[in-house]
Amino acid sequence: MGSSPPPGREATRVRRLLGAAAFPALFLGLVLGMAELPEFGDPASPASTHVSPRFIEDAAAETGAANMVTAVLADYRGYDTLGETAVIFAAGLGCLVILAAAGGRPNLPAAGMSHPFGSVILDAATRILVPVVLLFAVYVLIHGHISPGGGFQGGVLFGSGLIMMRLVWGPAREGGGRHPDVPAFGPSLRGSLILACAGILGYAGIGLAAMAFGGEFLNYGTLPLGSDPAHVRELATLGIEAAVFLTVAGTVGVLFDTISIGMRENGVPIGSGRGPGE
Amino acid sequence: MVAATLTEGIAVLLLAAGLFFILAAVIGILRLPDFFTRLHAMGKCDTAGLSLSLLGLALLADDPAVTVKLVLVLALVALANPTATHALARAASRAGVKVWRPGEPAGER
Repeated sequence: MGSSPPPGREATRVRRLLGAAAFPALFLGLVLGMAELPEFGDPASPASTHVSPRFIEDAAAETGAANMVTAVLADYRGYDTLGETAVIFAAGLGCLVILAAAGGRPNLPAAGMSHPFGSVILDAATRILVPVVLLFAVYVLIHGHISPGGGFQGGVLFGSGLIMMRLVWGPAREGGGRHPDVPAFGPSLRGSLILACAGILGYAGIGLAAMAFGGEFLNYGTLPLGSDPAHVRELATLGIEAAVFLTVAGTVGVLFDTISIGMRENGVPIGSGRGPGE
Repeated sequence: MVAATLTEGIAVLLLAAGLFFILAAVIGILRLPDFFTRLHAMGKCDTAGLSLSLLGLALLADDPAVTVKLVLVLALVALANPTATHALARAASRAGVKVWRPGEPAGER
């Protein structure tokens, strides 16, 4: 995107004509396809008569996940969830490209808030709250097997904990550490990006590993993690959820840092002013 | 039986006290003149009201695990709520939100 030289007038016209021709064709195809779909919520549709009962009856025994949503999300429809995770990752990248690089200063190490916003009260409370938030995020991730939760929710919580540190303690310095009194912890913008990449690569990697051991892509049953297939699937599902967790948490960090750069460059003071009585 | 009734009585008293403080917070948000006074009503009364209600519910819970979880939520609220109020007030003060003085008309809602 944007790397090719600007096309000539003729090329632009051809492109517009192609777009104008493709749009109605695609639209018509989608409308025709929709007419063939079963009625919304139809109890006689194939999804209601074949797919749902199968999930309800066999999910716990086949996947080892008591939470059926997790079984469907991370196992039966793992391919779908890989796409969703990629969309979240792409959203983070899009934000980075538009807000950070478009400003002409894609200076990754210096990104984020310019000054800490913290006060003594905020600093003390954050020191207690951040570890609790981060730990609870991991709890939500692991608990996704038996209750509502999982990688997406846990990842957002983890990212919120990172944002809290940014808000109170300011930007991560390249050498680690953000405030003289505060121990170095939490990724920089570059670190958040690496986290997000590691998540999506880990997800696809688990799928490829299943192929390497003779199964289909993302069909975890073949992984050599034990003799009980349901237990193997349970472990692989946890791996998938952890990968989603990393991507979501990293993307949340990327979003916060790029948005705060955008605000800083537009002259919105972020934690830079001095209030009365200070 | 007597002990159970006593526990229930204390729980009901705590819940009633909690509801009183939440009501006070609601009235404060609606009636006080500017951002800082409204924040003051919300920060103090919400924390007190929620804490008392949670204590009452913790007494009523049958399952000890639920009691422990409610007490943990209570600790989180008691820490996070005043901190958030402080952060909001600090941000507003830095952004130059005007402080209401007696005799002036009420600020924007």
